[in-house]
Amino acid sequence: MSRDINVALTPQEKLILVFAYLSLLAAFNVGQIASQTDFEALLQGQMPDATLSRSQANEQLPVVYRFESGGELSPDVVVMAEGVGYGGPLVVGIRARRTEDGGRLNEILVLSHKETPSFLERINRGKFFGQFAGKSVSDNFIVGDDIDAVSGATVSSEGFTAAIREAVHLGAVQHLQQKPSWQEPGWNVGTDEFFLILLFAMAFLGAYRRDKLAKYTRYVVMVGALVFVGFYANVSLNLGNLAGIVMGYIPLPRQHPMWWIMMIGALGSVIVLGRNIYCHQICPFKVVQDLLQKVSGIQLRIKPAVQRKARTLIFTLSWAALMLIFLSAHPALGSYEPFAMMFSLEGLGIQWYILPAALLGSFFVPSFWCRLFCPVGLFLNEGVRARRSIRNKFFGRKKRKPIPAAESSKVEIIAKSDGE
Amino acid sequence: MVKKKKKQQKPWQYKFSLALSLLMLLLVCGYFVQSFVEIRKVKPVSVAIERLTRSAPAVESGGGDD
Repeated sequence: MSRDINVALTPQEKLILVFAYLSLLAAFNVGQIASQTDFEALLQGQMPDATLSRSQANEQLPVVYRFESGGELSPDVVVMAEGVGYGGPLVVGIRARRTEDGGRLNEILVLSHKETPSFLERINRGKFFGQFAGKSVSDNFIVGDDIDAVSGATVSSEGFTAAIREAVHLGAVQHLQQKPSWQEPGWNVGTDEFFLILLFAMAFLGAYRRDKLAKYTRYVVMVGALVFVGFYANVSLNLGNLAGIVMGYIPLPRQHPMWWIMMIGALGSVIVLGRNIYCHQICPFKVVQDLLQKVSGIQLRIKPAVQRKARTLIFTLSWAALMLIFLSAHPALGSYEPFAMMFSLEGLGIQWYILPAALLGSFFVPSFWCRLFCPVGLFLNEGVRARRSIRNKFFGRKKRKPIPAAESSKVEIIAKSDGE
Repeated sequence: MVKKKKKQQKPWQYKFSLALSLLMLLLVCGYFVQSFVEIRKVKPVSVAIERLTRSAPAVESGGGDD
C-alpha cells in the first residue's frame, strides 16, 4: 500500500522533493527560452536565392512576406502561420504563386512541430502533404471536405491543415487580392464526440451504482473503452497530455473537442467527484491488462517491499520524463507509455520493446503497468488524495456509518488482500 | 465467516515478477536515453511538398500587399 499523504516526510525526503520541484521549474524555464526559435531566419534559410520582406499588416503570426528575387518583386507570396497539433503548436511556412486563375500553393515548409515522431512519419507515409500540391488558394482546406486526414493521426492532420489554411487564405487576401470565397471550418463535433460523452456517462453510472444494471454497464464501458478510446480514436491520456497543459499546449475546443471531453471527464471526475473514473473504466490499456489476466489466470504478486516502493518509482520515472518534456518543450518525447504503440502500432526504436514487456508483465502480474509504471494513474490518484486532504482540512472528515460486525470482517479481509 | 487464506507465493514467483519489473524499468530508462538523443537531432525544417516553383506557370505581376 502506498503511504498516506498526511504522513510527515523525513528531512531527507523533504530535501529530495524540493530538489525535484526546483529542477522541474528550472527545466521548464530553460526549455521555454531554448524553444524560442527565429522562424523568419529558418524560412529565409530555406529560400537562399530570394529576399523576404515582411508585410507590416501583421506583427504576430500569421505573417505575410513579399518575395523578391534578383532585385525584382516575384509573383510569389510566402506566409508563415501557426496551428495546434496533438502534441502542441506547429508552425508552417507556405509559398503560393499568382496564376491566371488566381493563385496556387506550391510549397509547404514545416518549421516547427511537437508531434510524436512516429505520428509524423505516418503522416508523411500517408502522402498527406502531397494532396496540397497545386491546390488553388481559394479552396476550403478543410479536413473531411477537400483534405483527407491520415487515419490514426487525425488531430495532427487537422493541426497542419488549419495552419496551412490560415496561411494560404491570408496570403490570398493580402497579397493576391482575392475576395474570400471559401468556406470557414465549423465545429468538429460528430458521433465520435457523442460516443465518448456517453462512455463517460456510463462509467459514472457504473461507478456509483451497485445493481445488475451497473454490472452490465461496466462491461459495455469496458468494450467501448477498448474498441473506441483505444483502437478507433486512440485518445488515451498520457503524461505528454498532462504536461502539455502545464506548457499551455491546449487545442481549441472547436478543432479538437475529443481532447476537451477526455480532459473534462478524467480531471473533472477527480476534482468534482473525488474519483479516478478514467483509470478504472475508460483507460483502454487497463482493459487490455484485465483481458490478459483473464486469459492467463496467473496472478503473481509483487514482493510487498517492492510494491511499497512503487509510488516512489513512478514518481522518479515521471520526474525524468517531465525533465525531458520541459527541457525539449516537446511533450511527446517524454511520454514513455506504450499506448500509442498498442493502439496504432506506431513506435520508434526501443518503444517497440516496451509494449511487449508491458503485456508480458500484465500476463503474469495483475495490472502490472498500472501498479508499477503508469504516470497518468499516479497523477490522477494523487489528485484524488489531494482533493480528499483539502476537503478534510476545510470541511472536516465525513463521519462514516458504523459497519455491522459481519461486514467489518469482510472489509478486513479486503483491506489485507489490498495490502499484499 | 471462514477467513479466506491467500495461497502462499513461492520465492521464485516473487523473483520472476521482480525480474519482469526490472526489465520494464530498464526499457523505460532506455527510452529516456533514446528521447534525449532524439531531442539533439530534431530537424528544425522539413520541406513538406515538392518544390514546384520552377515548373508552375506564373503570371508576371508583383501584386501589392499590406
